[in-house]
Amino acid sequence: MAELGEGGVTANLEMTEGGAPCIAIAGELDFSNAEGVRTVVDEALANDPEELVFDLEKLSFMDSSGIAVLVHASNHARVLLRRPTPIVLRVIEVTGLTGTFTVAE
Amino acid sequence: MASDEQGAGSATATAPRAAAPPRARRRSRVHGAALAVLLVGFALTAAASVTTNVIYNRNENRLLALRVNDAGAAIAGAIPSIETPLASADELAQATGGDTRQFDRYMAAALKLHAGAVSGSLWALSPGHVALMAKVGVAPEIAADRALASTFFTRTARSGLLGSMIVTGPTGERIGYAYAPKGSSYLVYEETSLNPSRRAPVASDSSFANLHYAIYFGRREAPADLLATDEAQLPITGRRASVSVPFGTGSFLLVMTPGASLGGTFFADLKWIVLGLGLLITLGAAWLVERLVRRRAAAEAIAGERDAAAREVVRLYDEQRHIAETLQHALLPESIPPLPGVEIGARYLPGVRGMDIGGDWYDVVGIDDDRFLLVVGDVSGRGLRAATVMAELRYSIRAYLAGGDSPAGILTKLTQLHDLESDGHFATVLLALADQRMRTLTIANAGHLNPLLLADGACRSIATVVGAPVGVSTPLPYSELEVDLPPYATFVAFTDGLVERRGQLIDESLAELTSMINAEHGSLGELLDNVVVHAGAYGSDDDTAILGVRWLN
Repeated sequence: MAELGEGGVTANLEMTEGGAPCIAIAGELDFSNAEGVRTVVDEALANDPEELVFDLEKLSFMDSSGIAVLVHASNHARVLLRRPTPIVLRVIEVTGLTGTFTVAE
Repeated sequence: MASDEQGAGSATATAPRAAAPPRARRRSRVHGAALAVLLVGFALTAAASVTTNVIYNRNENRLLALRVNDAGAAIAGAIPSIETPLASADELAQATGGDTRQFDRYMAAALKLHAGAVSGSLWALSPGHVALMAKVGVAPEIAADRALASTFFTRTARSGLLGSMIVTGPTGERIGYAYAPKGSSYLVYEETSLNPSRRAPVASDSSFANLHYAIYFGRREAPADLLATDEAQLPITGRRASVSVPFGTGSFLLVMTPGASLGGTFFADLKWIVLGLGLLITLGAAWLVERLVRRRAAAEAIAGERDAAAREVVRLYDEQRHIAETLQHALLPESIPPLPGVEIGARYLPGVRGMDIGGDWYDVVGIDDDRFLLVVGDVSGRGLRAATVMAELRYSIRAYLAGGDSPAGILTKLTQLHDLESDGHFATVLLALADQRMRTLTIANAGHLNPLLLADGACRSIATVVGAPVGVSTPLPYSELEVDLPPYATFVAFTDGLVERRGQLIDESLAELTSMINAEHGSLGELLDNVVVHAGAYGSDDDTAILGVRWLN
């Protein structure tokens, strides 16, 4: 479990035995803090998981830097976005990345 | 948010360092206000102390004068105790016709009652002559000087009062008392011995115990006339009072000085108490004032330093912004080439908070007389790396365009060229190929926001087929959308900074922008300016590029 409390965003990594690692991102993810979240993502990818889950229920904002973090994750594992807020989901859609991630309610 | 906090953090970190030396200098001296309090306090204390002393001295002098008068009265009251036995002896002599035996008996008893009396004698008075008739005790010293005796006795008898004088004889000095009532032919004379040192301490239980004194015979303070004193050093100096006490035909001079404060030691010390307390209060008040002044000065200094630091931060920030903007502008087209049949305008808005250079860009590339390519792109993230990716993409697009690729073909090639994993950034790119002869726009979109088309008095979003951004590997190919251009149409493409707002769906801000442009009937420049104002009002912290094209027919 890792926590990151920098500039309005937190990223909690949960590793469950047998299950996919899950990163819960809360707050506002933008260019000022995306690098920190990327570090957490790299930590989760260190074990070469097949799937990586992002719990985005509490993520209220995400800009292109945030999307880049998700795209980076998708380059190494199947990415499942769990419960994204409409604002975040829409940003992913208009960026033409609907097919890149699997979205789960 | 993060950049805001970091900005505040660096401001407080630099302020104390920059400001420490002047504050240290200020600490070393006392402020004027405290000095004024100190001076005024000292002056008031000195005045109060001096006044206390003056009042004390006046009071002591008054008390001393009263005591001297009391002592004088006591001495004057002693006259009858000397005069009465002499008068009685004289009466006895007159009554007995000068019976010496009876005089001897009476005088012997009288001498015993008078402390210090050593000699009593009876003298016969006749005009121009005095004669010793009888004596009790030792021989009177005056008898050795008949001329003196004659003068003294004659004068005394004439006055009818108690006469007194210091008589110096072979055995030392004595006080001689003589008395003869008027008309009497006898004179009674008594001599009392004088202590050679004249020292006679005041009894400790006396009401005059706290006073020192000197009694002189006559009116002068001459050492020869000293009768008694308890002082070693004469004449008495310092605080003193004197009174002349009439004594028969002559007088005594009584001089006194207090041995201790007559009003009590508290009043004697009062001026010192006033002085001490005054100084303490003054120092305390000055200290308090100094502390307050310093505290205020420190507060003002800190406020000043904070202001200065804030100004410095703003200045540095502006400077960095300026550098970033200069670099950004260097990577944007210097000028848009004039193309026939269209008016083209562009605006670039640096992010409100971003100090790093952004990756937004636009470009207009002429192909031939009829065709030109419009480009709007946005590299994710910020910084020089993002700007480098942006420059790479910008010139790659020009190269592929020159090679005859279509918009979708260019995007496909860009994706092969660029990869998020190696470059750390992806980019959204919108390419619109305008054909003046066909009056069409051929649009390909790699993850970019849809452009707007203002035509026939209505503004609408062009629903392009949105592919994945450049740098994101995708199995799906890019598609093109062909749009017909109505007369006088206006095309507006922009980057997400214009509509990306925290806490708002992008569709809502897009709708706001669309309705804003819908109400716009001015020139292209005015339209773009108003879009900028509209974006500025929402204070997006991301950079924003806007490109507008208006067809002139």
